[in-house]
Amino acid sequence: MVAALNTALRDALAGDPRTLVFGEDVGELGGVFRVTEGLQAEFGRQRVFNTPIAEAGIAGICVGLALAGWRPVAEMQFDGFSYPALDQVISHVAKYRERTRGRVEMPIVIRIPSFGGIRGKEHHGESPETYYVHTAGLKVVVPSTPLDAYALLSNAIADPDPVIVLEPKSRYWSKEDGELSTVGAGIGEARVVRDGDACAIVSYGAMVHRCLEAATQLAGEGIECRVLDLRSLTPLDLDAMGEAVRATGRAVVVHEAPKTLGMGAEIAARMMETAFDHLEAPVVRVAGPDVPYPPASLEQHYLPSVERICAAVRSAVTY
Amino acid sequence: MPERTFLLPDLGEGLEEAEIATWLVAEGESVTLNQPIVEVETAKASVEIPSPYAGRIAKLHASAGAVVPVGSALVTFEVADIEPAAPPAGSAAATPAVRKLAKELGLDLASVAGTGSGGRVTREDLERAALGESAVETEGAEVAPLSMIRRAIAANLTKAAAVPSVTTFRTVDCSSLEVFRRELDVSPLPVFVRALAQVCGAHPKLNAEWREDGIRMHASVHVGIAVDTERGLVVPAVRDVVALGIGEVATEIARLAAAARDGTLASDAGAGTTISVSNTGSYGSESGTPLLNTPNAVTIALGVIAARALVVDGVVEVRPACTLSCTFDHRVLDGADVGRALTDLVGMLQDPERLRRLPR
Amino acid sequence: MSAPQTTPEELPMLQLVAPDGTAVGDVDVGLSGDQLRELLRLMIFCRRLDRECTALQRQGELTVYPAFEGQEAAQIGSAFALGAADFVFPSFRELAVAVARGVDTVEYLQYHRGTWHGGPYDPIANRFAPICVPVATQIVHAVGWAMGAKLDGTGACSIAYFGDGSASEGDFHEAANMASVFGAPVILFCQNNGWAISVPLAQQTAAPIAKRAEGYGMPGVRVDGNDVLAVYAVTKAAVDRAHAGEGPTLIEAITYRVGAHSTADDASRYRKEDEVTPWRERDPVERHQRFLESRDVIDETFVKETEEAAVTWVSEVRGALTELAVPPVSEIFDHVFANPSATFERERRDFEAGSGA
Repeated sequence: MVAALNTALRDALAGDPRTLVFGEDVGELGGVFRVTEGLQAEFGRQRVFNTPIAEAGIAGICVGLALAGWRPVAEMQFDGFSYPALDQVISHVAKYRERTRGRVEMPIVIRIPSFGGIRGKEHHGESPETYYVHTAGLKVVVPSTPLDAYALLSNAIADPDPVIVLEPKSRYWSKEDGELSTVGAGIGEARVVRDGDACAIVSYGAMVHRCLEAATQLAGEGIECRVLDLRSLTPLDLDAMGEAVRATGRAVVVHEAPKTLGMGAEIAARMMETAFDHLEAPVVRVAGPDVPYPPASLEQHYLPSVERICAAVRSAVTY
Repeated sequence: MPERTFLLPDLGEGLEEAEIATWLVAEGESVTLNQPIVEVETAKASVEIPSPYAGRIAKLHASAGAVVPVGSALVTFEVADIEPAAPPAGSAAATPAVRKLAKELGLDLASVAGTGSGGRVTREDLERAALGESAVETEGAEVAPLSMIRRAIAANLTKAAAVPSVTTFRTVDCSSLEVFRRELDVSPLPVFVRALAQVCGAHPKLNAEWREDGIRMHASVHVGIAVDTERGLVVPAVRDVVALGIGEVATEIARLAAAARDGTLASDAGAGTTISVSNTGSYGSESGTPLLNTPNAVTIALGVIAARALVVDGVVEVRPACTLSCTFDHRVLDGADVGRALTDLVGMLQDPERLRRLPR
Repeated sequence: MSAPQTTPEELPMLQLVAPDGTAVGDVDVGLSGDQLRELLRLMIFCRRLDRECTALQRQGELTVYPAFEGQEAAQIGSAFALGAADFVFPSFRELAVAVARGVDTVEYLQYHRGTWHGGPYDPIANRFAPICVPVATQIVHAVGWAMGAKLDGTGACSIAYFGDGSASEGDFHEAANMASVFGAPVILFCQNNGWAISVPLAQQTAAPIAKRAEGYGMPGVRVDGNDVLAVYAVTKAAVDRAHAGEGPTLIEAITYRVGAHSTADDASRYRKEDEVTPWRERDPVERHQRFLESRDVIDETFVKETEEAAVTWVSEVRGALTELAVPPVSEIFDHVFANPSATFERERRDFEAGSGA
C-alpha cells in the first residue's frame, strides 16, 4: 500500500504543477512510513518540503495556500497527532467554500496514517474518523487495499473539495496484484469485495481484511456473507448499503473505533431509514469498546476479532 | 403621516427582555435619526437606544420601570416619506417544522397571520388557521400502527398498481370440474392450479415477466397462492407445478397455507413465483380486479363456485359456475393473447376428458 | 485593573506626530498632500461608520457589532501602505481596513447583519479574506498565502491583523515560526488595544509583543498605533521588505479600544471611564487633523465638508443594509461542495421536501 500511495503522490505532483506535498519529515526521510519517499528528490524542495512540528500550522497554511491557488497535500504524522489541527480543519478547511459562497475552493488533502493493530504506543492507534465525518464540508475516505489506496488518494487530490484520507497503517505493507487505476473507486463509491446472500458485513480500512477472514470461516458453516467495503465514510454510498440489506436482510457493521457514535451508529440509522422493510434482524455493530485505545499488549482484545465478527453474523442470521 | 412601530431588539445575543430605565424623549417630540431615545437595563448591561427614524414620537408603549419582552412594541413614530417596506416576496417567516406542518395541513403560509417574534408564523398560528378551515375533527379515531409486513405489503401493492394492467373476466361452467374434483377428494383450487400450469405450456406469456431488456418467459411454472394470514397477505410459491400431480399440488398448497398462518414460512417462500392465483371464492367473492403480484405478468382470482342460471344449448339451466378474474400486465400480453389462453383454460376446466388427462 | 504597559526603553515605540499634532520625528514619509488628506478623510468616514454601526445594532439592524473607535489610525495607516496585489487577512474588527482597501461596506456588514458568514464579498477579487472570528487562526492563513505567493514569485505580500489577545494563541506562535522558517512575505500586524474583552494586557502577556520577534528570527517594530503617519511608515517599510523577498516582520501598534469589546459587552463592569479618558486625549483622528492644519495641508472647510460627505455615505450604507433580504434557505446547501455527491444531493432534496432527514 505504501508504494501505491507513493505512486499516487508522484502522479499528482507530475500531473499538476500546482500540487504541493508537505508535513513533518516528508522531505529527505520520505516520511516515517516512507509514503513520500523519493518525492523531494524528484520534484524539489519547493514542492515537497518539511514543516516544523505544528499541526495547526500545517492545516492553516493549507487554507492560505489554497487561497493563493495551490493544491496542498498535507500529512499529519499520526492519527493521535492530528487533533491540534482540528480547529483549523473544522473552523476553516471545511467551511471556507460555504463562507465565501463558492468563490474560494479548498482543494486540500490531509493524509493521516490511522487506526490500530501495529502494537503502537499511546496516541498511535486512534480512530478519529468520526470527528471528520461529522464535520460538514469535508469528505473522508479510507482505503483497505493497495489498489484502492492509489485510486482513493488520486481521486481525493483531484477533488476540488477538502478530503481527509485516513490510511490504515496496519495495512501499509500489504500487497496486491493488479493495475493502478482511478476508475471504479470514486469518492462515495463502496465496493462489494465478496458476495453472499445470508448477511452483509459492512466495514472499512484495516477491518475489511478481518471481515473477509470471518466470511471465509462462515462459508464453511454454510453462511455466505456479502462483505461491503465502504471506502468512503462521507459521502456514504447509501445505494450500496441499501442494496446489501435488500439482498441479505441482515447487516453487521465492523470498525475499530469505539462503539458510541462510531460509524456503525450512522450506518445502522441509514439502513433503517432506507431499507427498514427488508431487515430481518437488528443491525449488529462490532466495534471497539468505549475506552481509550489500550496498550499494545492488550490491543488484540480491543480490536474486533474474527471470532467476534462471526458471532455477530451468526446472531443476525438466527435472529 | 405614515407610522412605524419600533420593536425592542435583542440587544445582546439571546436576551429575552429589558427594563425601561429612563425615557429620553416624550410623546409628541420630534427626533432625529440616531438621537438617543431611551435607556434600558438588560441582564448584561445598561444600553442607550438611538432612534431608528427621524420623525415625531407618536406613542411610547411602556413606562419607566416596565419590563418589555424582546420583539414587543417600544415606540411608534410618525415618519415622513417612508417608502413602505415591501414584504419579502414569497417567503413568510417560519421555522422549517412550521413550514412542513403547513404543507401537511395544506395551508398557504403567506395567508396565515404570524404572531411569533418578527411576525413569524408559529405552530399555534397554523393550528388556529387549520381549525378554522377544516371540518369537524374526528374524535377518538383509532390508529392501528403499521407492522413491518403491512408496510411491505403496501409497498408491493403500490408497485403493482403502477404497472399498466387490465382485468378480464370469464365465466366457467364448473359441472365437470365439480364431478372431477370430488372423485379426487380435493378442493377446486389445486385442480385449477394444475390446469393453469398446463395451459402455460401453450401460452408461455402467461408465465412471464416484464424486464427492461425483454419479456422473460420462465421455463418452469411456479404458482403463487395468495394466503390470508393474521399479519396480512402472503403469496408463497408452489414450485414446478408441471412436475406435480393434482394431489401433490393440494398437499403443497395446504402445507404452505398452514405454514403461512403459523408464521413458519421460509423467508424466501414468496420469491420466484412466475404466475399467481388468488382463491377469492373462499371468502365468497364472485369476481374482482386482483392486483398483480409483481413481477408476475398474470394474477387470476378464482371466484366462488355457486349455482347459477347458465344458457346451455339455448336453454337456461342451473349449473355450478364461477367467474375467473384475470389481471394481466399489458406490457407483456395483449387482450388477444389473454383471450386465447383463457379460452384454452376454460375449455380444459369444462372438458372432463382434458381434466382426466391431468396427472393425479 | 491596571493600565496597559508603558513603553520599555529597550524597545522604543516609534512616534512621528505627538498627540497634540506636533511633529516629533521625520514626518516626511513619502506621502503627497492628497494622500495625507485621504488618510484623514478615511479616518473621518470610518469613525462615522463605526458609530452608525453601533446605533444600527441598538436598533436591531445588526446582530452584534465590535466597534473599532480609537483604532482608526492603526487600521487605515497600515492598509494605506499595502500594494494593490497584497492580501489582507483580518480578524473581526477590521472594518476600517476593509473600507481603506475598497471592500464593499454593505457586503462586509452582512456578516454582522447575520445574512451570511464572513461577508459575501469576493475575497480573491478584493484581496481581503473573510472576517475571521477564531482568534489567531487567520495568521496561519496569511503565512500560507504568503508561501504560495513566494512560490509563484509574484512579489506580493500578505498582512495578518490580530489583537494582543490573539498573540497568546498557539496559532500565533506556529504562524510566526513558519513565517520565519519559510521566509514568507507576510506582515504580522498586532493592534495592541490593551484589552481582550475584559482581560487587560497585563494579564495577557508578560513581555512586549514586538519583542517576541527576535525569538522567531524576524524584525519586530513597536509603533504608536494612534499616529497614522508612524503606522504608515513602519508598515510601508515592512511591505517593502516583504516585496523584496526579505521575509516577515512583526509590528506591534500600541493603541486603545475606546469602546467595549462589542455591542454585547458592557465595559463598565471591568474598567473605569477615567482610564479611558487619557486615551481620548491621544485620539488618532484629531491628532492627524491638527497636524494637517498646522502644516496648512487642510483648511477649515475640509473637515466640515468631509464630515458632511461622511454622513451622506453612512446613510447610504444604512439604507442599503436595512433593505438586505434574507437569502433563500437552499443556499445553505448550494455552496458547501464544488463537487457535491449524490448522497449530499439526496439530503438536500429531503431537507427541501421538509422531511428534515
